[in-house]
Amino acid sequence: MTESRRSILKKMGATGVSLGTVSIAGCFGGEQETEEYDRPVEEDLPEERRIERTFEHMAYTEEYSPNRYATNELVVETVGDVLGIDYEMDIGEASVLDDREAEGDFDFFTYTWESEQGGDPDNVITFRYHSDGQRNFGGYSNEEYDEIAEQSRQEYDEDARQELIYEAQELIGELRWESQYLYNEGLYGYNTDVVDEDSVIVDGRLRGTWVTWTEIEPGPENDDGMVATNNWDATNQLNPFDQMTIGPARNVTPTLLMHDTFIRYTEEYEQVNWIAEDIETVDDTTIVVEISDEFEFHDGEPLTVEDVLWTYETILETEPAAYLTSVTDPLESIEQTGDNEVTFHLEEPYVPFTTLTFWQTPILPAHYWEEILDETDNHDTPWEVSFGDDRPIVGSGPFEYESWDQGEQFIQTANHDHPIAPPNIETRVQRPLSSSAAELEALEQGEYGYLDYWFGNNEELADRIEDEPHLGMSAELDNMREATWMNVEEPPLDDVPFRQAYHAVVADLQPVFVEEIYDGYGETGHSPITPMIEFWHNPDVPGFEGGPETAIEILADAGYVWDEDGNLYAPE
Amino acid sequence: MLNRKYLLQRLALMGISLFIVVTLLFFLFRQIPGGPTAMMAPGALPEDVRQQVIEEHGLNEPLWRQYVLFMTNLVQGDLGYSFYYGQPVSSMIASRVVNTLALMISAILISYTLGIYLGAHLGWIRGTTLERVEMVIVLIARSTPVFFMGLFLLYIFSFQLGWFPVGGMRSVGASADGAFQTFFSIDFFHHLVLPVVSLSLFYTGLPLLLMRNNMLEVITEEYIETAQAKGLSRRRIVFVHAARNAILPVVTAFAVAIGFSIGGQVLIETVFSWPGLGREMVDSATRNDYPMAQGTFLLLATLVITMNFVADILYTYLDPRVSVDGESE
Repeated sequence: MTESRRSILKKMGATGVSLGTVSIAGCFGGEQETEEYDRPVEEDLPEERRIERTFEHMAYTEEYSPNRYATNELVVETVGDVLGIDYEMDIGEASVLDDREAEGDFDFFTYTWESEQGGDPDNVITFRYHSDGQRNFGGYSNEEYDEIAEQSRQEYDEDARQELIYEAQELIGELRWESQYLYNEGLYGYNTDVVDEDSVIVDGRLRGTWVTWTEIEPGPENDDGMVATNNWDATNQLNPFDQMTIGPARNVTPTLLMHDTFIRYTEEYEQVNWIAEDIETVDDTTIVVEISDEFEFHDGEPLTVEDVLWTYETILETEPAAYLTSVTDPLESIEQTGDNEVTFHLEEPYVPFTTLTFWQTPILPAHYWEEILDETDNHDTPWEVSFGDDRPIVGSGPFEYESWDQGEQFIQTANHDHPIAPPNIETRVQRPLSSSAAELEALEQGEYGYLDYWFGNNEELADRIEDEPHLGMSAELDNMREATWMNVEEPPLDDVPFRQAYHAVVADLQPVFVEEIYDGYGETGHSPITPMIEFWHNPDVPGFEGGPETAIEILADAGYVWDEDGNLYAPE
Repeated sequence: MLNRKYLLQRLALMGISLFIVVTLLFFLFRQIPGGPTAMMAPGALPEDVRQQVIEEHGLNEPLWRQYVLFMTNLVQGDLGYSFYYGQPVSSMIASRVVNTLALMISAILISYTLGIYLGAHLGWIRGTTLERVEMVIVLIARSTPVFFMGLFLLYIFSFQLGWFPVGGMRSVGASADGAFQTFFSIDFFHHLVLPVVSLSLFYTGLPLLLMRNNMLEVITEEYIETAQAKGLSRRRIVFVHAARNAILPVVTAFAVAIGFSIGGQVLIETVFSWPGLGREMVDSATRNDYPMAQGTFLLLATLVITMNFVADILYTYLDPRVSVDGESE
């Protein structure tokens, strides 16, 4: 009998389970396989205690991410078997599932999400898990946790804040609002004829090569210094006031390359001053920033304090959706306090202002934007301004706008006068192709210098790199973790032991995810913050090791029982 | 003769058809699960941001008010702004539609020219071994899914032999000043070859088979025998006397093909990463980008309805027995 990939993976998962706790009743194979677990069984259980409902596990399509699809398949089948619940996959397109998540219309939802933003873990700690968090779609609520999260936003002492973030992770681990599958590694292929191999430095924590563009040198066969790379999709928005230029990488990357911000991060993930020459936190709500006078916009005008004031004041006045949480909410006012100095007054202490906000907010040329807003009458809605070849984006960043063929490619030329990071290459082209096979071929043929993103099969990329001497690859743990989020508003998902038991089963499958499904490109772990964010990552988050035995023990201790057919019943 | 009353009736019917299509499109797209905010960032947007984006796009208004606004703008020629691109739908469509037309018109012209010629030829040589061999080839080309043909050609001529690019409409980093440079350059034609060949192999089958079948009827007509008796050359009989009368259904098929060409060939545009309107139609529907989806489908509907009308008019010129009021004499 030919075994399915799912059966093989399930077997591998089962071998990770302690043999003393599980008896395998039948042989695996096809849909006939059954397992029996050492569970407390009772007879004549009242029907009202039976957990009868079908749990739906929302997941993206197999085409979207074959590896993630395989992990979900394995989880749904194994968890359903071990816990004795009716559990099935609910596959859909991102536009549908994301909307359902935002409306709280889900039981379980798996995707890959970052552990930090702008170097700060606030997007996990507060955005996601504070009871008022803007990304809290699962109904997570715990008073003790809320207090820790609030303190972590206000604690400017880094070591003290680290302790709070550690505590928060422990509590998230204990409450099991999310169940991690693995910490992902990003794979970055490059063509050594197009780019100099030694100059390619990938920072997995910042997902891609974009942050280290200064390191990219043309390779031996690249006379014109033009380097092209891929992306998930074509660039569709370049207006820095629009929500989409702070979200998807297809827009974030070119936007950050065309503009400068107060701070940036090195490949060692150290925060460095960029436009800001000095940042001083005077007190919990007052931050003074000294502006460098070395920056110039692409049209030759100097970047000054007026531009900083205009950018932040425009955001405060018009409240673009993009900056609601990072600027509009925390910032009360901004004022010029010296020739090259501005002072920010915050509504209340907000530590991510000097990390996330200063990293994310591009300083825009006031003279250029005023002219555009006058012309288009968009003073109240700057995000509605369209940009294109007849109205290019002007910034001060290391790359300038060259041309944009919508849906096809976006071309940027080097700003060799950039005071901190003049690029080594002449031209950067961002151009998607519609399949990973075509992307791989384009890399081999030298059409791409490197792949900034790889959504195809890891093994396929690794094999091709190995076969072709002019190709190279770097694999780095990035800032993402693949995990399942639970909606805790309905029983039994509102019960902590149930969620802990769930994670106990998933944790046992983690080695299979990493080794078999992701071909070794990843790491196991139990914290929502990946080990790549070393300073914030707590390695001692409870993981409930022990597999199905632990899961059953947790549930039994909490009063759950099973009938003779293996169906789960809630505690009395 | 053109009948004015009939023409006005047809134009009115076209208007009613378009109104129904537009209304259906408006409500159908809003029934698609999911919402337009989902494509604005990976994962769901924070709740307050989501609400603000919904308000910015006027999606918090009652549906009937959105419909009235949409229809009012449409009458004024304003298709609105794409949620996804933040640009006027009309300019987005304009930039995509030329790419699609360049691809599709090339393929359709090649297909119909070849199809008409070969169909007439096959009809004339009916029953010969050559006809049977050619028919098998045609049927294979017609029954092979066009995306499969595209993938096959891409694999052989691009991935293996490296003769043609892996996708796109021009080389990496190439930019053009104006439409002429874009569509009349060696680089563009180099990128055009594989997708056009893939499409042409598929599309040639229909006009060829239509032409052949009609030729089989026409060549039994008395005027063909008369032409033969007059000692006219075979070429003249086939292409001047017989083909002209066999071509009518092909004209209809051609007009409809031109109409549908605006929608492109989604699969071919995807296989060859062609930045055309076909992919955009599908993507905009998937992304719940209502203005863009409505605009692209409206354009498609308009063209199909118009080309059907044009085909009816053309009939009267090609076959005097057909009158413009739709009745045969």
